[in-house]
Parts: sequence; structure tokens; C-alpha cells
Amino acid sequence: MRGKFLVKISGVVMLAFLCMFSIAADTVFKPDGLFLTWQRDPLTTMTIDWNSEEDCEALVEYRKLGEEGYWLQNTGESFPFPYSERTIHRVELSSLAPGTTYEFRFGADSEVYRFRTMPENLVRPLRIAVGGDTRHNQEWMEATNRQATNLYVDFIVWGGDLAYADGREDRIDRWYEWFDANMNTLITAEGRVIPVVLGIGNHEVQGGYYSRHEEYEANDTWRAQIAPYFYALFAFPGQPGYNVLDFGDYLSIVMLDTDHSNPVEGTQTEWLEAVLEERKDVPHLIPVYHVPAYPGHRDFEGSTSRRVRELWVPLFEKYGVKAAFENHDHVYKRTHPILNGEINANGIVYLGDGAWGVEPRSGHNPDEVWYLKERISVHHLILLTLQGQHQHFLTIDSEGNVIDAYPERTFLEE
Amino acid sequence: MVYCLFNTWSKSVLLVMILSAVLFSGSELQANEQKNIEALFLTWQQDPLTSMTIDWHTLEEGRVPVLHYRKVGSQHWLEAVGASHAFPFSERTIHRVELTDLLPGSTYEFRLEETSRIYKFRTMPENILEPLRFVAGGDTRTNKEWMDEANRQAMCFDPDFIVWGGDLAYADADPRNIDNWYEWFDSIMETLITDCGRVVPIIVAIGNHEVAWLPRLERTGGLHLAEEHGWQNHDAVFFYDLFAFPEIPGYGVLDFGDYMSIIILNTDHGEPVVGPQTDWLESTLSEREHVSHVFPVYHVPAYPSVRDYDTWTSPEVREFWTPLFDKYGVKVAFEHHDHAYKRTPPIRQGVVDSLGVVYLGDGAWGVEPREVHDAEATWYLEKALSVRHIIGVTIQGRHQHFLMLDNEGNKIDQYPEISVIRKNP
Repeated sequence: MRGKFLVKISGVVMLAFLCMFSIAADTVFKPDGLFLTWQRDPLTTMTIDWNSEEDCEALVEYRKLGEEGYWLQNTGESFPFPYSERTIHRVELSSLAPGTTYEFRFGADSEVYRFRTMPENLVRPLRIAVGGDTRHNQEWMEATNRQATNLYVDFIVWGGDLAYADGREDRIDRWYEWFDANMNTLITAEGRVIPVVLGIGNHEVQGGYYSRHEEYEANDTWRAQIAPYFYALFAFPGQPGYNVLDFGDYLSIVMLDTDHSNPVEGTQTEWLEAVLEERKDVPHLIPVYHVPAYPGHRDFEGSTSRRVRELWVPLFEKYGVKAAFENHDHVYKRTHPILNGEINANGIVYLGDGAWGVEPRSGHNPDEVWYLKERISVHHLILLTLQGQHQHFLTIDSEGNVIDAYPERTFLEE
Repeated sequence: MVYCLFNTWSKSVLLVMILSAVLFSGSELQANEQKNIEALFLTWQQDPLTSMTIDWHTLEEGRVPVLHYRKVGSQHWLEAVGASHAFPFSERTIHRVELTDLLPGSTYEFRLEETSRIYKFRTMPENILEPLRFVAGGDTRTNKEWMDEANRQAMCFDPDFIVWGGDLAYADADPRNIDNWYEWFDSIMETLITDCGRVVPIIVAIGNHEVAWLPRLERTGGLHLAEEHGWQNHDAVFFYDLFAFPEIPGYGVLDFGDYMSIIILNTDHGEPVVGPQTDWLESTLSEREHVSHVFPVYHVPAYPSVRDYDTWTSPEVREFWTPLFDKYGVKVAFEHHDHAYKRTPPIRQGVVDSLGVVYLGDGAWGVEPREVHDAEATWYLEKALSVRHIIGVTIQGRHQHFLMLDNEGNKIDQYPEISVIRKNP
């Protein structure tokens, strides 16, 4: 398999020029998939991925919105889309100006798109749509995507279970649908492409968990082997499957891997402690991961949930996390603030549980489960608003109705 | 005697019973029950989870005030005894009873001797797993109609309490303006009691219109009053008699469990910013570093939306207090005095900083709004509007949200600013 990938990469180089000429003069080039994310500093960089069956050169032209005249250019790399005729092109732009809108295109014949770099500070609100478990079918995914786009969010965070392809070759169409859904709905009317920061879930991994692979060793080769799409398709988190993204001095998103391609315990937990310790003065320190510590539907004693509670939650508490985002259970849930395994107003609120575009499950009854404050079985996104030191959470269903808020709203706001 | 209904258990209460029996014959008592009280005002002098201070005003004097109360659902009325003192320059007497050892997060009923009406109040909750809501503002009354209007908007928020940062009745500590106070208390009686009889407690701070100012007295032909009574500039003739909290010299802190502290300060209205008050503020803040919600409330703004940046007490507040807010983790402070709505960006160490304090104000509850500085052109203003308004505060867990309504109930701002929801455009 690796050999086949290498052959394709050399093919990319040879065919680079052909792409430009293969497009008829009167047609506008649009990629088959377009995906923006960050590998580092979201104030000054942007990673642009696009995929197409044509082996174009990995070249992006860009300029600040409103600056007429010449375009800047940057080149990147191309990779094979696993089990596909498509090629992934990836160009990272850097040294951009914070809080600025840029235009970009893939050559003179291409559609012109936009992106926005993240702001220097949180004087103005930053709005993020958070969720996970994105696609049982394209229609559901697009419905919730559209709400995110309607809210003009700055970016989206998805905590795993993306296309439900399970790392299987025969499920490649699910990825095509997933990229189609994003092409159809995550570009605003003005042409701004909404970036996505995402993590790994069980449905990105063959068998769902590293432990299903007897020979598994914690290295890049094994991780790429059991989650072939995830590591090929996404620049972030990249290897080893967990990572942190720092937005200036105000926000750090800590993306974790709940036993899918890395064990919770050991290296990842040590890394997590170091990362949180270095960021204990960041006002918005936000962990995102797939399997919930406080499940909205599944058993509280599930082994990964227990490990997250035993190994990660104490670190969240120690280093000043105020809210964490969980997924996997396909319901909307909000816990009470929890500290030391008990309800405590000074604790962390856990929001989830991943029902962006999947069939919602029934879930636990909050009256019967000590840690749940709210549970609604509905497709949703959580609109996280950050401004100054303040955080607000507004939950919106796929039809645009507000179904929950934290702090809870008065009837005046309904 | 109606007293047989009450659960009496202390010697002092027995004494009161005897006194009452001696003072009033049956017919007098009946007449007394028909009488209206002139004012009713609830606040706290200590722990809002377990205490309540109830003031009421009547036209009679020289009596030990008694009220009866019980937790809603309880069969037995309890009796509490307080003390009375004169409403300055008035026929009225202020009766004050402090209830203690109450249960947190509970609704109590109470009945004053003078009236058969049953009122209610709520003690503050033990924790804020459920949202706690209060309304903040200041500069409450240049005419009653405006004050009533804003009060009604505040009540839409179903507030647990209200906090007013000074310039209450605009009586200027001048006995000739006593009607301003009567109107002010009337407005509270008429609009800050719910239909079900719940009285909303109010925490107040002192402002410049609570204190005497000799040039003003001279201008209005009242200098003889000052001479007669020996008043100096900044003497607060009514304030400390009318309100149990804050006591002289006009600053104090109320701790709501371990979750919130409201710090009432005095911006040079009889007590200088600099000196003991600033020392007290530092020790008060340092002891509360781990309290999630610490809200300073004071009259003259550090960051004025109308007045000059370098006038009044503003430079002193910036020099002596805001560095302490920065140091000890204050997230939001409430300012007043300028008669407009303003929200600053987060400010730390005198510059815009995501980790800074947001200053909300500037006191236009029931006064004519003034023209504001251009927010675009003023570094410390994120939003400034010439409008009467209230600030609705919600706290839950460690999170806060602020919703601002104008006098007609329109949403004029919020913090953090949540997107406008566009349903299926």
C-alpha cells in the first residue's frame, strides 16, 4: 500500500502542469473537496487542503481581501487520498495578518474563496460551533452544518466519528459524501470557507480501538495503518493523533485520542499534563475528545470513560479547565459542574455528546443520573462564544432552535 | 390576641407581647392593622443565604418593631423584634428587623404589625448550580415615572436582588428635597414587589447625590441649613439612616456563600478613595481570590462614557482600585454616575487585554441619558449608548452572562455577545 502511495506522489509532480491546461477556458475550477484547518498559530497561518481527481500542482494564490492587483503564491505538497483516484493537495500559508479576511484560489481559472485568520485578542467575540459524530447520512450532516454557517462561526470543532468509514476501503464513498457535505454547506454566501479543527473517534479506526489490534505498537506506522484515512486526510492533529492548538494567549484547544489510535494512559496522559501545565494561565483551555467521561447514553462504567475520569479529569481540574467537550453517545447532554467526582459549582461542565449528523439515541434520564443536568435526543451543535475571560454555550438543533444555554437563559431571551 | 397563633419562645418576645398588650387596646390594634405602611425595603447586612434585613416606615414612633415570619409551607409563625429610629427631617419612623438563621434558597413569608398583608422574600441559594440572577444599575430617580419604568423592566428578569450604585433619590442630603425620598420609596413599593408579594431585596452604594455640597446649598438658598446643623461637604444626612448596608463610611462587602462577593465602594462621597478604603479593598479582594464571582460596585466610573477621562474621581479609581481588580481576578465591575450605557473592552493594566476587566455602566436607570463619547474614537469604550437601561446578570457555576435592556425592554447589548440566531434563512 505504501508503495502505491509513493508512485502516485511522483505522478503528481509529472502531471503538475497538465492540471492547469486540462481545464477548459470557459469553466471555473472547483475542487472535489475543500478543507481548511490549522497546524499551528491560527492568528497567522491557514492550512488549505483540496482534493481532486486531477493531479493539479499544490499551489495556492492568495491576497488580503480588498487588495487588488497581484496575488501571492505558495506551494505545498500532494498526497494520495487512500483507496481513491483523488489526490490531496495541501498548502500552508503563514505570516498572515491576524483578524484579517483573505481571498484564495487555485490558479487563474479557479473559483475564488475566502478565509479569515483568527483575531489577536478576544475584545470581540469568537464564535465556535462544537460537536461530533457528523455523518450517518449527508442530509443530516448538511442540516447541522448549515446552522453553523448561518451563525457565522469563526470555525468548527469536531471531536471524532466523522464519515463513519471505519478505515475501510469499501466505505470510501462515505468520505466523498462527507467532503461533499462540507463543500455544499460550510462555505458562506460571501465565499468564506469555515475552518474545521477535528479529532479522532472510533469510526476513524479499524475496529474502533487500538486494543483490537493484537500486534499494535504505539508508533506512526501502526496508527496510520489502523486509521488510514484519518492520518492521510487531515493535517491536524496529525501524528501521533493528539495535539494542541494555541490561539494567541487566549485560547488553547487540546485535541485528545480516547483509546482509538493511542492509549489514554501513558505517553498521552504525560503529554496532556505538560501541555495543561504550560497553559494554566490561558483563560480558555478547552479539551475536546471522543469518548465521554460522563456519558449521556452509555454505561458510566465503560472502560474508556472510566480511564478518562481517572487520568484526565484530575488534570483538567488541576489546571483550570472550565468546560470540556465530549462526543460518541449521540445525544445532547450538559452535566452539572463537577469537581472531584461530585457536583460542585466550582467544577467543570462537560458538554456533548456528539449528535451533529447521526441518529440521536434515547440517552439517560437526567433525573436518574447524578451528573446530568440536561439531556436532549436531537441533532445539534454547541455554539461556544468566547469574549474576554467569559465563555457562553448556546445549543442549537439542526433546525436552528435554541434548545439549551449555559448559563441558562431567562424567558426574556427566548 | 392574635399572638396566640405565634410560636413564641424567647423572653424578649414575651416582653414585646406584654408591651404590645399594654400599649394597644383591642380596638386600637384593629385600627392599626388597617393602616398602610409608608415604605418597605429589604437588604442584607450579612450572609444573604441565611439572613434578611427588613425595613419599613410608618408615621408613628416610639415602639419596638415586631414582625412575624415563617418559611413557606410551615404552620407556625415566628416572631422577630428589631429597633426603630427616625427618618431624618420627616414624620416617619424607620423600623428595622434583621432575621437570621434562615435556611438558604428558601421562600419566607412575613407580616408586619401594621398590615395584614403577607409579603415574601427569598434567601439566596447555597450554591449556583441553578442560575442566580440580579439586576444592576444606578442613578435611579430624577422622576418617578422613569424609575418605575426601569423597575418594571428589572422585574421581567425575575431578579433575586437588585444592586444600585449610588445617586438614588437625588435628594442631595437636603431636607427640602425629602419628597424625592418619599417618591423613591413609593416607586419601590409600587413596582419592586411581585404580584405574589415577593419583595426584591436591594443593595445600595452611595453617590454624590446622597451627600451635601455646600456650594449647591448656597446656590439654592439653603446654606443656613448647613450652618444650623453643622454640615460639611460630603455629609450624608439621609443615607446612613435610611440604609442598613453599607454602614458608615459607606463601603462593605456581602459574601454569598463561597460563590459571589459584592463589594460596595465609596468614590469620595464622604470617604476618600485613597487611604483606609483602598487598604480595606486590597485585603478584601485578596481574601476572595478564589471566589468565582467578585463584583465591585461604585458610583464614579474609572472609565467614563460621558465625562472627561481626567475629571472627578475617575483618575483615582484607575490609579488605586483597578490595579487591585486586575491583581485579584475581578472579571466585571459596575460603574455609574455618567447617565448612559457603556461597556468597555476587557482592560488590564490600563490597556485593552483579553484577560482584563470589563467595566459596565454608567448609571441611567431613571435619569435623563446624556450624550456619550464616540465609542469608535475612545479606546476604552466598546459600546456607548445614550439610553436608560438595566443590566441583567446571570451567574451559574463559574460562568457569567450579562443582558442589557433599555427602559422599554429592548435588548441593547449582551456580554459575551452571542450570535443573532437566523432561523433557516
